[in-house]
Amino acid sequence: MAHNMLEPRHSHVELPPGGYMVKHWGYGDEPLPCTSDADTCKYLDGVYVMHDLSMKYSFIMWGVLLGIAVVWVTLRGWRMGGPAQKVGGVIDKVCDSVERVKRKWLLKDAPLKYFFGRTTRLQVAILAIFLGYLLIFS
Amino acid sequence: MYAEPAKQPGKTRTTLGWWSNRVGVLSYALTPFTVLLATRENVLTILTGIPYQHFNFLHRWLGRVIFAQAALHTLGWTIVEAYYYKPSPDVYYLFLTNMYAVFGCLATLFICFLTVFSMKSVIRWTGYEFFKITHLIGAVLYIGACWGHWDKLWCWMVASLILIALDQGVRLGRTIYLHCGGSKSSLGFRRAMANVQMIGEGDDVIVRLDFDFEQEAWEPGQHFYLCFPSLSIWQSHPFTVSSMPDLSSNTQHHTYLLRARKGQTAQLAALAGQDVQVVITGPYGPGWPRHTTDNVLAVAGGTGVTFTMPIIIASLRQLIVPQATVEFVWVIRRAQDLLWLNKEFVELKEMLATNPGLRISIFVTREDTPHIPFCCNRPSKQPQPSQDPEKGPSSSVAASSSELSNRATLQELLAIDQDRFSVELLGSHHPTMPTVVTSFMERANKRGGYIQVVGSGPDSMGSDLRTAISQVEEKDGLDFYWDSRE
Repeated sequence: MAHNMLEPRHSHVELPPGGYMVKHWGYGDEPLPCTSDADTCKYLDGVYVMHDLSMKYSFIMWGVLLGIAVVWVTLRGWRMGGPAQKVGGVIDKVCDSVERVKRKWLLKDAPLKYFFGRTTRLQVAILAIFLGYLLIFS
Repeated sequence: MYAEPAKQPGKTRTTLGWWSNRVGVLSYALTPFTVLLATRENVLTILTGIPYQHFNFLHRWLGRVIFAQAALHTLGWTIVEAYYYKPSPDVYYLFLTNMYAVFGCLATLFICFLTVFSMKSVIRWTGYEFFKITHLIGAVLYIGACWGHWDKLWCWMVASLILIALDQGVRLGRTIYLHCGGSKSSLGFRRAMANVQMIGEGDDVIVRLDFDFEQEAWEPGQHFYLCFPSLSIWQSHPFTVSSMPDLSSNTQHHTYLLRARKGQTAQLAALAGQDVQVVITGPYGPGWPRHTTDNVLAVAGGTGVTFTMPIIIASLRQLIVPQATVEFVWVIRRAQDLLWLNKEFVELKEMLATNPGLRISIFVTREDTPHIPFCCNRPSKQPQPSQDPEKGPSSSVAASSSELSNRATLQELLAIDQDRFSVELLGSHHPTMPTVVTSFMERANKRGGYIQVVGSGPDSMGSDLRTAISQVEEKDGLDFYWDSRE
């Protein structure tokens, strides 16, 4: 079914003589070399390049999310290590000052209550970062 | 965006379709993350320690982002197929006969439904139960339609469906385990029958639930989801347990305070004096106090006391140094509200004698003088012996004589018989949180040590407390947690 779904847009999925198929994750196979006219080939090439880039961007997004999770878990494990490790330590100092900055600036209510509802600035800041990221990658 | 006429007659090629696909791919990738944020059995909570409720804000907004992405993707392809590809609209109609286009339209419809019917004002109109059922079904249908639309990106959709199934499965598993498993004495389904009491009068009525249940102890500050099968099997709501867990016992006593509003709480209030079956799932949420107990400030508004009361009692029991600054602040509408937890409150007052650092401050926001009501508890045939001449002999109070003997009267609760106990009747305004926090911080900073501030109550109070906490200066570390009741 999947293959048929593509046909209206790519009316030439049949393999040209002597050609080969290039696999694209998340999209139909690309028959190469392109046998259509130059403009069509340029357009089709663009479709595949753009799609591969989109896939890369979505994996980068998950990479960033997982990366944050790994760093978070590592720091959490470190911090839960007990009071013995809490003495000094650059990481602990950085974490503590991040906590203080978070409390001082981001704990208060976010503006635009009618829009966001009653929530902290931290929540809205995280949303803003997420939206910015998505806008850039769109 | 470039647009050029293609060699085939009437077909203009643009990059709009490319960009629409970019947005579509990102929305697919975002779907499992958005689902993950909504789960109660939350993997992120296990990993990061952030309570699952805190992810709700991002879940809602990412849901709207997906809606916007779906709308842009649909609009983009509609423009391409209906405008750029000629002859219009024949090409468009032909395009719409494709299965993937049909599934795409369905997915767009489902995401529209999910977005509109999860708006607060719409939920108020349709009711919570409708929202809860249709949101879950709608989400599964949306994910299914997305799968049908572009099955080559099935990985994101399978991940989303697995997350939903796991969440629901673990919830059900935990409920079954609590009610059927883990018991030495009995096999099969163990029922929990909660005794329903209505306390208070006028606009200030709460429902108190009490029951014993054979299970392991939870941690103070944690909450359970309660479902009342005789009222509805489709609803379960989170409530914080105000009773102390008993580590040495395999039977725990649960106490809950619910403000009687519309909906299910009103139905419960109508059952006052009777027993009602409860199905529980939990415990959820972080336990308190964290780390070694030192200075603790617990601020509660109204029924938020169910969160702070066990935390304060646990903190006092765990104190390493009895001089630690511990303060219990409870803001209530009327003095009679102390009767919600009268026995527990008497115990807490008694702890003033052994803990020189403990302070109890009660703020009454709607009374200038304490009104001693006739009736405080569920109706009973036995009138309460009253020392107050204002109380008539017809006062119908209290459950039984044995309970009665355990209960201190309101006058006793309000009696200023200790140094560090205060009751302020504020008439018609609220205590200012900065004042409460500053006075605690002064004493805590003088002594030094780690500070924990916990609170629960109306959202407006949470805002005030958060603002007050954001302005404090401390040197040995501060942990703040607001248990939202949203």
